[in-house]
Amino acid sequence: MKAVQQEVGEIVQLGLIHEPAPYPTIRMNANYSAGLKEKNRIWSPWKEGFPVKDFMQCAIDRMKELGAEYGDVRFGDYTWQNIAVRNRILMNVSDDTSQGFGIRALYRGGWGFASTPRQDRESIIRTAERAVEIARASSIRGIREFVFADEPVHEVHWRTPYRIDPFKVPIAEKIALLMEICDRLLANSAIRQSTAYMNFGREHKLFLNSDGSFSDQLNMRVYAQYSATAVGPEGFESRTYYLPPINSGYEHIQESDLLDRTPSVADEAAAKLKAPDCPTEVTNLIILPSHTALTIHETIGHATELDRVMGWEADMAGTSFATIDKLNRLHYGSPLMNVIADRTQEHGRSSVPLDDDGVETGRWHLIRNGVLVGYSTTRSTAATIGEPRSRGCAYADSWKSWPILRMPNVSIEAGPNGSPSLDELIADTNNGILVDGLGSFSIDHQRINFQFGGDCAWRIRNGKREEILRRFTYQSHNPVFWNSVDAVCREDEWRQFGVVNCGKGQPMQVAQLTHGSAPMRLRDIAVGRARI
Amino acid sequence: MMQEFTCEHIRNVSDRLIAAARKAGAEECAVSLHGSTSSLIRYSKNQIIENGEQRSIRASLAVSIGKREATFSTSVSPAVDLDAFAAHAVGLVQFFPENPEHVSPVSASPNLDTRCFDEPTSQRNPRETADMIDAICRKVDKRNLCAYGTFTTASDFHSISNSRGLEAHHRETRVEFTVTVRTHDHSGSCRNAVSHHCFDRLAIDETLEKTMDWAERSRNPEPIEPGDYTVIMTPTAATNYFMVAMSAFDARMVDEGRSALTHHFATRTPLDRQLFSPLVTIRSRINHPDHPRAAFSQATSMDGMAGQGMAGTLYSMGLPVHDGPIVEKGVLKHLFHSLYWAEKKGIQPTGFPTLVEFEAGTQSVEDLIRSTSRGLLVNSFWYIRFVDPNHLLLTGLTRDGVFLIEDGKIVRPVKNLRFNESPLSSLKNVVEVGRSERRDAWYSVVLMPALKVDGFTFSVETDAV
Repeated sequence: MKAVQQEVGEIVQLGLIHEPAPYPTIRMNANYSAGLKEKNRIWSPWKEGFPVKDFMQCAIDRMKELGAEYGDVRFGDYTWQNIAVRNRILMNVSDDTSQGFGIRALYRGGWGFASTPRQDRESIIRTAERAVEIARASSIRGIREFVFADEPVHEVHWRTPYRIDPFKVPIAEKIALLMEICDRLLANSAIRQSTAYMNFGREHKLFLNSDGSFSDQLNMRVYAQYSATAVGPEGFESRTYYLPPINSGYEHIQESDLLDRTPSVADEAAAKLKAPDCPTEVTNLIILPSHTALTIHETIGHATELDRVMGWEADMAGTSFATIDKLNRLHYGSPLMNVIADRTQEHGRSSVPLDDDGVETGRWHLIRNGVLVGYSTTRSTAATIGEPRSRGCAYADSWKSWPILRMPNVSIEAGPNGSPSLDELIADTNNGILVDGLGSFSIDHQRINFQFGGDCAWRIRNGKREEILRRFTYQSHNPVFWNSVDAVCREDEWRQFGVVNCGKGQPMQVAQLTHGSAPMRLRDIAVGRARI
Repeated sequence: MMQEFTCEHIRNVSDRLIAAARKAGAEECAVSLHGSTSSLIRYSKNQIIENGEQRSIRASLAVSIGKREATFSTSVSPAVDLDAFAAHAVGLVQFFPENPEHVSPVSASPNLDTRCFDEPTSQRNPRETADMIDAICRKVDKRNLCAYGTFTTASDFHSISNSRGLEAHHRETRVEFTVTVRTHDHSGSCRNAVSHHCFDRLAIDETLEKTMDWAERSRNPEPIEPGDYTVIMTPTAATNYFMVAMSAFDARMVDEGRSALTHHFATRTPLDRQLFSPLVTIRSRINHPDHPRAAFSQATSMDGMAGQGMAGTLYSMGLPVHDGPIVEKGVLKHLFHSLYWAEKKGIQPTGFPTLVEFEAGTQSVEDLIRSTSRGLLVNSFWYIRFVDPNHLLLTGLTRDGVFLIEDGKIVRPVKNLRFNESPLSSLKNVVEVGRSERRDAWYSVVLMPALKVDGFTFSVETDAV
């Protein structure tokens, strides 16, 4: 559909074979049916006399009149709240709202996008006209052999499953919790600085495209994090605890162990300051899900984004070593590695039934039994690997941003039946280092060489967790790193963590993803090479 | 294009928010308005892949009652009820705990006309830009190379007003051209970016030619042993690396022993000490004839930068930008203070730099190469992150071309390398300074020379091109 030229040269030459995409039907949660009963089935209490759907249809009609081959309109209504406390001082409370329309047009392989915060019919039609005008300008050098993948027509009304709207919880209650966290951290005399913050997002998006697909979707985001910094003659060291970034309601905070973890966070910050430096050596790592989330994100998630693979991001984010010729051939990891991309998992930070291309989202393998078998795709990129439909990875972080390809929730599956528990895995390790949380992270622009730290690292000796090591880092590269996995823990050890600040695109957009895994062991990794 | 952003409209929104906040019971308040109309075209593989416009006005309102305070933000459009927004803010803030570090808004400052707005730049249209990118792609095609990049134009305004009568406005245009050129076999790559407030000042053709030349020269890099090298950093590489050092220059972190300046140099009082090479002079500039920038900004603390961004408050917005040296001939002369920390220490608060200038020399990059017996030329650094904040130890990788220099000549391109090094050590190890170019850093514009640095540590190489 809308193809300038229906030719996929690269694929034919490579002769790749693709399995048919196993697209699941949209998995609606309990709140979906509850939502259906709500008046208008639209989640925001907008003022009366704001016929938002009519306005969107007007914009689509105008773009068609002007010759656009495809067009879509998004209305975004966003509310965010940030609360930050430092050393019992309320540093920041901010409430933030943002509303407006973003309109995208395709004309002979040329894209155009325009946006406006105005919410009257005339402004919206004028913005649609501008989008087409820009698309016509782009078409002078539009995308060659462009295929915009077909997609059935959908109508979706959905919201994140949540029980307690975080914006209805009194701010005083949230502040009190953060103050309590700071108090508890400062109770340890080694701690000189404590910070704690939480933020919430209510991201409501309406979407209509020229195919006739419509969606009304609301994401509710909840996040909290705190740190303790110990200061002494040895310098300063911090320990950080963060809640798994999932989409949920305030119950995610109420049911968390935020308060329970404060003593160990403070103790470990103090212990880190006094700890011996991680030696320069080659050893075994056991990485915990709180740490692995970012490693998955950087070394697998980004590397399997098809726009990067195609070179479209070469000017900024970079490209990828996992090129199309390696599909179904590259041994990305050991046979224990099964990596799932999923925008349908219930509380995933990037979960949503319909993406910003109007595509039904799904769940698929990126890596199966260690072999690269898939990519994240959009309607603009899917044809490059011969897939007839997009995997639904288009995302725009605001009404004024245009959709770009973003990785979905990417997770490593737990080990098969009979896999060890974490305790068993540690007991089975004579020599190694256990890694928790997020530290320094840096990776090259083709996702080959990387260096990561952790928030806390412990020496494992003779099957036992022993002393903390300071200044822990490891260096490795793709695909050697994931081929070093020799054990993955069992299902009941699998946890979701994630990333809330993934920057990509020009201008930069921020995406949020959930990445799950079970503890796993990697053999013979270089540690402690980062030295002053 | 800019009809939403007339000065009258801005003043109306500001006045209305201040009046509404006052009426609702705010003792003090400040309003900041940011408006932007920007267009950005992205091209990849010699074709336009994205092209769009963004348009927004955002209002931030800080209110306080006694020592209770908070900040609220909203997009501004006729659909947003500004009175209700202000009343909501004041209604909430009275239930907050007091902030013992509360300070009052700054008083009025002179509003300098900074001549950053170029009318023709603000009037450029999508057709002109697409035609320009088309011409660029033709040139690159002709040399059998592949180009990727962006071209941005923007018209921005920023205004600040507060309940002490301060009112300051700033308008500017921005234009930026980025270009990455890669060889079709993906064995060579180079990137450059140029920006200014005035389109006519962008050397687009020269930048393109240079990038194509260096992409070809970087083809088929060979392995090289990691280790300590003398490194010549282009202005881009020097900006990537050295601007991170500014994050250590925070007064409160120094005073409370949480700064790399105190730990790395083993001193409690780094100010007025010879910490760096005498060749290093860094200034915050105002009224630069060729690079005018906003004359007001906010007092900003770098405290907590590793995780939470810079901390500044709207009440400190509107201060005149710091005008003077930060480092003079290697001696540290200035630390950044938040408004609270400045008042506590009895120091005149100033705004965070909008134009940072590293003092330049007269030599070209070629001159710096000629005087090098063995070393590496680095075009840029990528993905720089903190490893150990006690020493400001950073890691990151080279990108866009690395070249081995022997006996004053470039002998061959080499593979990209990961470094682990502290810019505090490197500022000590600067041995030669070249000519400056304008670059964008993430919180300021910088005039950065090419720099030659001894003893720069690379840990491992990568196959990434």
